[in-house]
Amino acid sequence: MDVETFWAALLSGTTGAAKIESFDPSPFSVRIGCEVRGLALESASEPRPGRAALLAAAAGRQALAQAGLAGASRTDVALSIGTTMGESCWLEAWDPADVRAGTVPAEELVRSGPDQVGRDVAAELGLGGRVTVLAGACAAGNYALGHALDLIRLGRADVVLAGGTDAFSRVAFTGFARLGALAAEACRPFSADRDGLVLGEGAALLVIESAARAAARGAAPLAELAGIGLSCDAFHIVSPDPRGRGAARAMAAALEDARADPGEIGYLSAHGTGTLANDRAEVVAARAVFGKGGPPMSSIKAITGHGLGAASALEAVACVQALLEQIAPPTWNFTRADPDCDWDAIPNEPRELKLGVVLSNAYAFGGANASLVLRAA
Amino acid sequence: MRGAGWITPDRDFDVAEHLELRGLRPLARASRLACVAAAAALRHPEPLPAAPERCAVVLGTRFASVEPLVEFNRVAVTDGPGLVSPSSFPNVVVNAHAGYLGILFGLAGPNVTFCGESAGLEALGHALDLLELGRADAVLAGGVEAYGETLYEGLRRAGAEEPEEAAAFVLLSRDGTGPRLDRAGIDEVVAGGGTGAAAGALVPVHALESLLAS
Repeated sequence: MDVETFWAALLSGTTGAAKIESFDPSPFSVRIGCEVRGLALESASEPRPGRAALLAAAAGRQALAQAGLAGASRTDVALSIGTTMGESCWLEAWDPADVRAGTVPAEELVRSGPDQVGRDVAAELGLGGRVTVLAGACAAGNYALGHALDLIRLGRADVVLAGGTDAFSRVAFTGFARLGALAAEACRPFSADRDGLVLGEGAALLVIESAARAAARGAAPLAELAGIGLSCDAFHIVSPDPRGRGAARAMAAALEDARADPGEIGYLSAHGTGTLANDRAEVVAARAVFGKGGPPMSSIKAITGHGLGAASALEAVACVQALLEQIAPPTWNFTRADPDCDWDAIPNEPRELKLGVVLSNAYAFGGANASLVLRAA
Repeated sequence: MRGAGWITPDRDFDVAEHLELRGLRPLARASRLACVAAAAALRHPEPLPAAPERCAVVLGTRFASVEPLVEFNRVAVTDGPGLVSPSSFPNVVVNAHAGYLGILFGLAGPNVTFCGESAGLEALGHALDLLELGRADAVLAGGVEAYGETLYEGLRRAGAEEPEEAAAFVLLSRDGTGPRLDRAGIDEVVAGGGTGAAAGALVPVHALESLLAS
């Protein structure tokens, strides 16, 4: 899917949520997910890269083309990519008898190490720079984008292709099902009747370079990646701190890193998974940073589902589009306000806003928080 | 060595003998090994060297999530998805190991995980970057690989060298206390795309032994 189609879907409320086809969902009470369909993931490489790498390679080709680097030498292009657990596609396809006996395909086991995603994406795209794979689960995209920012600032790379990827995974689906985190029918972030997340998949990559380098090659930047803020709840391995202290510190750190005042933020791209605990804690955190009259905040996960490592990279793309178009994507599937999430969630209708600076949140297992600040170019 | 801790345990290594912390039961072996080495580097239970929210964790690993992933899938396939323990799910998520370090030792600053053959070194390099950029005042940085029956058998059959399990951490501070690291040496290896070490070879322990300048 290209950026225009993605953006149009966010504005029109077109979701990919449907009955799962990539595996038999009948053992589960929840059977919906957001799977990428109708996209030919071709590769000439042998052995064939995994689905997470191929999704990322498809996204990377688009990003390089849009940045005017399609035909350019990529020997100096670095890769910073985030994922939850790398490729689980091989393992999930193993013969159940082999799995029970523990006699599993050795090469595929070795390639199940998450670093394989980075090697495969770099090979598919012919990137010659350093390859960094960051594990950041549901915040991995922001981790990878933030790392790209550091690499540029410190002069360790000239141009970085950065973002996140995760393939639709039976293991992940099972895990979230066992945690009781899956929505029965739809993801309804910040709604009073929300009942969980809808698992998704995907990839999004962005070309990050210094303003000087972009100017020197005559490229027009889409937006400025202005700051990153990281923190850890140090609270619980899967549950957010209900007081939102870590999330608030990540937002504050990102604002400080971008030298932006809270009052400049015109739109907040929420992590907004649609679970009771996440959305409540995120609002508490936003209130700590912005006070009660903070910027409107929406979650696109009602449309995209939760793409795990891809999620915050997809949301960064949405933020760039919001800055370019001066429109905030809404929170779709919103039914009624939750007193515990007392915040303007931009329900069900895109909103024209004057946007100079936006902030995007991502929170992960392990209490890992990563917030990004993006500024209009 | 002040501010550094590493272990290269044998298969019978019992983490519980080395670390008295509550709530360790659901942790994967990689997390447990990391906890033991981290406790030594932090000189736990001594006070942290900076305010908790200024203390970061940076972890490098290649295979820490693979055995938990295999085991999670095995239970789901063998017993059914409804019988997998929810508490085993975080172990398949690679950054959970660093998350446990944050939780157990109260380290509330940036919590970052790198994956790859030279991820332990990337972790050390990134720790120095976090200090330089002012994102933290102290960083617990290191790496871990842990034994797993299926993983090790698979690595052997794939032609890898005999894998080695270990965990190693250093505690670095903005004020310069703690071990001094050879930054150029780290960058050289990381920028070169790896160490050339065979799959499963653990970089951080050897790296610490050779890179600690003092």
